[in-house]
Amino acid sequence: MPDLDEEGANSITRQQRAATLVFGAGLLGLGLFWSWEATKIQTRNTYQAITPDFLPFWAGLGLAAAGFFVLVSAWQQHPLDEDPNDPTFDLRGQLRVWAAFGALLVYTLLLEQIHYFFLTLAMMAITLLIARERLGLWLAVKSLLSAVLMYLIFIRAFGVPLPGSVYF
Amino acid sequence: LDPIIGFMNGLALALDPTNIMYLFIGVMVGNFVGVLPGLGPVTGVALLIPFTYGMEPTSALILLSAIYYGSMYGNSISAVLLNMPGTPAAIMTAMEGYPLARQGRAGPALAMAAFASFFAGTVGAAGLLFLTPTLSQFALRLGPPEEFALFLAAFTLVATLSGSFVKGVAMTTLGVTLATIGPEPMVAASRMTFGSPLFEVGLNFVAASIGLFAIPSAIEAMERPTKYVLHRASLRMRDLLPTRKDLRESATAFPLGSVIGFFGSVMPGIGPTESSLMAYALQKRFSRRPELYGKGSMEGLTSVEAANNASSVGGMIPMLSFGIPSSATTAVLMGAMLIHGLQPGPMLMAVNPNVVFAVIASMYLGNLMLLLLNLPLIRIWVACLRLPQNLIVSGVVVLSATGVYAAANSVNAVLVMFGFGILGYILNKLRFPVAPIILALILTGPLEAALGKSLAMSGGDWSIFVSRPIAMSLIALAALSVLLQLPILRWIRSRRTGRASRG
Repeated sequence: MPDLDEEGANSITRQQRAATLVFGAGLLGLGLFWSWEATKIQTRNTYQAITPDFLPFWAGLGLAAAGFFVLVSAWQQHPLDEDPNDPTFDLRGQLRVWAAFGALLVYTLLLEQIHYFFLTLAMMAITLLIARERLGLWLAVKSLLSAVLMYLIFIRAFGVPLPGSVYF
Repeated sequence: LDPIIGFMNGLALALDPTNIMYLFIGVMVGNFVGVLPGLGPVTGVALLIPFTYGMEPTSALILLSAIYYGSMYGNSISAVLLNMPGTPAAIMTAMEGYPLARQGRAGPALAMAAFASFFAGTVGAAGLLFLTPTLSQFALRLGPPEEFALFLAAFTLVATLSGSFVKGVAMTTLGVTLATIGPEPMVAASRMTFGSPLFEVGLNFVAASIGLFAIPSAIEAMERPTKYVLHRASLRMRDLLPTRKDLRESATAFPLGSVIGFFGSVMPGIGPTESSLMAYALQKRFSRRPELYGKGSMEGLTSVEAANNASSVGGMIPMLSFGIPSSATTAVLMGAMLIHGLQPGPMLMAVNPNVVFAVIASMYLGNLMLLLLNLPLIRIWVACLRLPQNLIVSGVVVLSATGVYAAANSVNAVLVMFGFGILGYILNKLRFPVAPIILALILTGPLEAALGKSLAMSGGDWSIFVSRPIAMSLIALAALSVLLQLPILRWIRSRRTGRASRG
């Protein structure tokens, strides 16, 4: 059988291959789910040449097929060993990544609850720590300056209605 | 409308003090994001969209376009001095520019890059000026079946030219699938919302583009900071000037790179990266000194810089004439136009010709500004390279979240950005192309509308797409671009080649 992915052949690491298999399965599942959900769309406008469920249904099936081919092409590839100095996924790196995503999610959810200036100050300090800034005076200075700058740009210059705009 | 008269009107509009100010800000911001490793034009344009909400559409478009071509200038600085191309389009610049810097010729290399960018940007703007009105007039004659076929061809070209065929197709399909969330284009009936208010109005385009481009680049820099050593170089004005020999040797690279970059990028799926690679390969083939390539060829560097700048201008043609973005950055620009109430495509030239001509005129002024400011301000750009990376990436994360909130005035949009941020990070890790998703997000609505209108015209008869010559040719092009990539055909071809070489 021919290699489905000529470009990617022999240039994928073990971790990438495993992750691509999971991702391909995810696409396959999402595509089937999408098509199934599309069948539930009410199509009252019968005079339309194509009904609102037409594209979601076929796009879902297409995505499922594409996911299947991603799976097969990843399966066919012969993975390379991970470079110990530059692995695709390493524990420390992943901890930083998901800590940053977690901080971003919390920041988003609190955006309308806590005073913008203080929330941004805290977020800058946390993301700077994640990005390897040492705990110390520079961390405080950088966070403070960034928060002041953001506050001036968004609240003062653009008048974005966020909590805190009325306080100072 | 006569292009010359249109240009004069556009120039008058572009010379308005407010527009000049935005143009200046645009080229400076563009240069800044281009200089910083890890940030590129698409991130710069996406991040700045929320700041343009209160502006006139013309000013907003002038600013965002200036960021695009300005970043191409900035890219060459980090490529030459750090051996670190900010975007893939500058890989060849680094390959030739860094060896030149190590030979003590960083200044002339940067100057030649600036001259080439200026030359190509100006040539590209001239091409844009004369081609856009003609192509727009042609596009106005197209009916819904031709429009559908055009969008389909754009989809297949983008999917098949994204490197890996399987990954390109998968990402295009994922984009189309996600684009079906929210109001359906024909009767605006809401669908695929799963009962969540998050999806009721569809996926916020600004949130999706910032999530796909800005967030992953910042998070990746947090995961693994980019290590680089700044090459020390004399950056006094007199040390920046190229020699006559440099100019003579690169004489053909200016026009060749510009022409390849400009015309290459007119086709969807071919952006600055592909254009600069084509220009580099062709220049090397015709070079009198091909042995210098890879070791510091001024000619190679000039050709690449001309190509990627001409491409950033030429890429505007399909967007302005047909409403088809040719790359991720033009897709984001197109999204910005829609937000400002401008409909990219042939109607734009008919309804708002002054906006188009003002943007084209601003490109001349912007390129001139970049040439005049870039070299004298080179020390400032180099100083930007010394900014703490962690401060920049943390700032990008916060700026992205607040910018999306400011644009949509809703936490839901920031949550969409968050979701796309995770998706973008995973896709980058697994080396899946991201551009097809953003193109699909923006083109699926018009594609579905054109399909619906076409079938309404034909009473549901699908043969309408093969009974009209232009539609049929475009569908044949789309089919051919897919067929040529099919693994079974590639396999047969490779077996034949193998047999021929053995025989």
